[in-house]
Amino acid sequence: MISKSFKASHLNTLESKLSALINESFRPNLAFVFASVELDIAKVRAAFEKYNLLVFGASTCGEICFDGSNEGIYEGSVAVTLVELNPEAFAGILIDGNGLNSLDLGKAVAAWGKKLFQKPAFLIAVSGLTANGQEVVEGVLETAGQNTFMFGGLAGDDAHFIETFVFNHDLINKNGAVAIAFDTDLVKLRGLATSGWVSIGSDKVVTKAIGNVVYTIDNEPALKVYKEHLNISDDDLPEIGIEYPLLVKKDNREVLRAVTGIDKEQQSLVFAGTVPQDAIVTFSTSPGFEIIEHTIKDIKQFFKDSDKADLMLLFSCMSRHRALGPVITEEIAEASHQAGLPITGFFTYGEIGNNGPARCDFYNETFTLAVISENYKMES
Amino acid sequence: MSKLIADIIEKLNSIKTSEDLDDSRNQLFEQLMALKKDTEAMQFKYDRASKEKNILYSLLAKTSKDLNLAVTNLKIRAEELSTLLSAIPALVYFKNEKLEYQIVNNAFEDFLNLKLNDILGKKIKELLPDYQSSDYDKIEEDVIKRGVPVYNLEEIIKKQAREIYLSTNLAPVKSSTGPVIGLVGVSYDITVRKNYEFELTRAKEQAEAGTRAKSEFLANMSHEIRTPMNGIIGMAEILKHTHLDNEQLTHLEAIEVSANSLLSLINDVLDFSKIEAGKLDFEIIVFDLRKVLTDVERILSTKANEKGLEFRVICDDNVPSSLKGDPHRLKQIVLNLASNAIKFTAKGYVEVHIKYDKPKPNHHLLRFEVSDTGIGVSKDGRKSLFKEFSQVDASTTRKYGGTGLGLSISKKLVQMMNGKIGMESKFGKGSTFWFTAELGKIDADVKATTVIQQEKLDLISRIDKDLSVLLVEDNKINQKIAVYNLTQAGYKVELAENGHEAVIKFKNGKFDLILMDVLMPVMNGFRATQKIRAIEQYRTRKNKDYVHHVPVIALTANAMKGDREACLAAGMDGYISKPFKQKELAELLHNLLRGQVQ
Repeated sequence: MISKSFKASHLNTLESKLSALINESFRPNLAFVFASVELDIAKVRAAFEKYNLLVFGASTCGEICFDGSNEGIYEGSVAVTLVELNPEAFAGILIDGNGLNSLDLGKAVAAWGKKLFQKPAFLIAVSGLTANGQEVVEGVLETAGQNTFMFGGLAGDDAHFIETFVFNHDLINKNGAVAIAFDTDLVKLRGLATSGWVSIGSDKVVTKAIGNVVYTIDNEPALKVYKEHLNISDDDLPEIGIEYPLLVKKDNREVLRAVTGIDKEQQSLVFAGTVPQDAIVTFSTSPGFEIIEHTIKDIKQFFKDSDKADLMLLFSCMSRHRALGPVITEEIAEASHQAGLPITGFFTYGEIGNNGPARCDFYNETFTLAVISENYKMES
Repeated sequence: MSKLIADIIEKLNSIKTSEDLDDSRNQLFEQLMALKKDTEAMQFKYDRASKEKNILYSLLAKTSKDLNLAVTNLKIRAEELSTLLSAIPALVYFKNEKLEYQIVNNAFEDFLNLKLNDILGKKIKELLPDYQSSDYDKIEEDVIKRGVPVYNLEEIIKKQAREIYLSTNLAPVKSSTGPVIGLVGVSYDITVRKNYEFELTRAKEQAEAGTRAKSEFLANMSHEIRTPMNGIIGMAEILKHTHLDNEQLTHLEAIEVSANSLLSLINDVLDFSKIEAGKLDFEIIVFDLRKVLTDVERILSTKANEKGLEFRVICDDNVPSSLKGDPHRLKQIVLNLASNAIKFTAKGYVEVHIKYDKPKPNHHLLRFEVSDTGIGVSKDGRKSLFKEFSQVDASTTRKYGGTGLGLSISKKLVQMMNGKIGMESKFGKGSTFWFTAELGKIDADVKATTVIQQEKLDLISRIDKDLSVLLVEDNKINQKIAVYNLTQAGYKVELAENGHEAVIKFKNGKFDLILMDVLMPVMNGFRATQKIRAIEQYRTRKNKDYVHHVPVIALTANAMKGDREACLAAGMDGYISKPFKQKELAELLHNLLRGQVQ
């Protein structure tokens, strides 16, 4: 596997860098493209059209392209990794989610992957602000098996919360999923997901919720509860809602669920994943810059237990960027340093991944790193 | 950052000339760029902290408000619970795992006459030094160890020279994470209830004593009633063998029929009273079912023939003959159903059919069916059939007679054999009465010494010819009847007036059979039999060749529960109710000796 990464702030820079990199000696067949909605997503996609490439693309809430010599985090630009990989080891698809709920979207992705490979692993990006990341994950695992490895995230739109996109080499979709399926006989996909967010405030009960829409908390309208507790206005949501997600406790399990949309009329909140009715919830926050130490410790432990990597993709929550500012580079730099590889990725509205050997899950507020390696190398 | 600034200041101070500046320019530039980066991060942190401060302050304020509200609500709830706890009219307490009181209610304080602070943290032994609590402590420890509740634990507490009965329920209390952290106990003062219980027990004992007295009265009455009946039936039988003209014979037969009906009525009432008192004698012995059926056929076929009815008994081949149970009671049920059928059938037939129903562990379940071509039973009549004192209607009683107890006695007897009873009928087209009975399987052979067996076989061969009988009876009328009956059968009879005389006659004579009345002056039948058996044993010890066992049959009028046991315990071989007929005696002897030989 050969890969090359770069970042571009303008479309013409993107085009010129592509034409400079792709030549006789480097013929990539896969491109990871994470672009700000500030650039015209249609034109970003078009820039790849003339190359024989399979594109895995998503709009972002900040781009990541770290090679050890730069800041690594950007806004209003596009981060690209071009990969030359055994063409038998992977395939790509873009599924239009119109008319499908999130569970069925996940099932469709998995059904496609299962047709191609006996034991597929997936990279996935999902668009649409009402998408339920958790349901997508459940759909995939129900169809492809509970021990399937999958990494990815919900696309962003620079915290405008208007519309998000996923795309491949010839299509763009505002309410669907783009996915790469890997043949796990040839390619290994592993990773970690770590957060560090802590709960704050008193326990509350979700008194009315359907799927990822919460109507009332402690019998009060959910939007009112958020505004009153955080002393914010309607305009601050859902942006602040991503930084102060709910810690949801149900059946001895704790997950963070970030607000990705509001309904002023219904006074309800749309979360990036399911918030079950009757669940106990508290607000949560990053306890400060020391969470970076927490992440670095987890990264070190992960690489201590891992084989050598060929490629790394990072799906990091946009709220980490908000909370940690320029300091966030430290956790990205640590992962890059540990693997000796550059990292490309984006700041998301929600992350998907397996934390070590654990079952794949949907998260908010996490640093979710996907590590890809070709199997034959390990054998040799 | 301050070190960076200090380095820059030091570097700037060291610049004296323009050459120095040229030398340090690049280094200073790098240091200033690093300073810029640090400052930007610092600025970000500052801005972030300001923004976060507002949100966190708001969250804190709201949370404090929430917590205050929660605390207020908890206080209200605690007060409500405390009020509830105080109002519960029982002693309620919570103990930790060391069995020290942690929470108690007002009733508990009042019971011990102690203040709350004197109770909390203490163990029961410290509060009630006289109380023997070790058993109680063990039970409480067990509740904590095993985590399971205990209900209705009763104990007596002595308080101010008064005994107080407490009933306690104990339940383990678990923490939210699982382990048992103590127990809650609720004790009720049940002294009043206990006193009622004692009174009830006393009343029950008195009632039982009353019932016992009634049963004894019943036994005595049965004796008293049967003795004159014995006289009437016996004397009628004797009279029958004298020279009588036709008219006299007709009258005599009327006396006989009436006396037999009366005896049968008395037997029914007696059986029913015994069932009611739960004192019906029910034995479990080995018997031959086909023999029982032959008896039934013999008894009823004459009656049926007289009415011009066909009477048949069919027993399927797969029905075993040797069974364990009460043959007399079984016969009683079949006789009752079959004689009813004969009674209510004007023409056609009556059939008794025995089928094998199914095997059960240790038992055979048999089905007995009695079908007839008689008047049948109407739908309404069926409802009251098996109820006591009821017949289908009043006209039935007038036309056919009877007590109306037969079927209800049969039903009770069937229940005692773990069976069911029922009937199918079409009014005017005959009926089928059926019942099932569980009868024991035979697993062990009854063994007897060969000598006695041989002796018994000899005796059996002579039963119908010439036995030498010692009759022990104090009642003159009974003596006459028995002597007449036995002589008619060809037996040689020696008479003894009481038990004492019987023992003497036994010592000096040689008898094949002793018929022994039970209640007699001077020495009763039990005592006399014991003496006779002792003599036999002594003779056997003295002379090994002397192996002899004279059958002793008790003559009883009071066939109450326990009589059979008393007879057997005294060494008797069987008993026969007075008044007996020669045929019955012969039958009993056959059964008795054959059963023992088997």
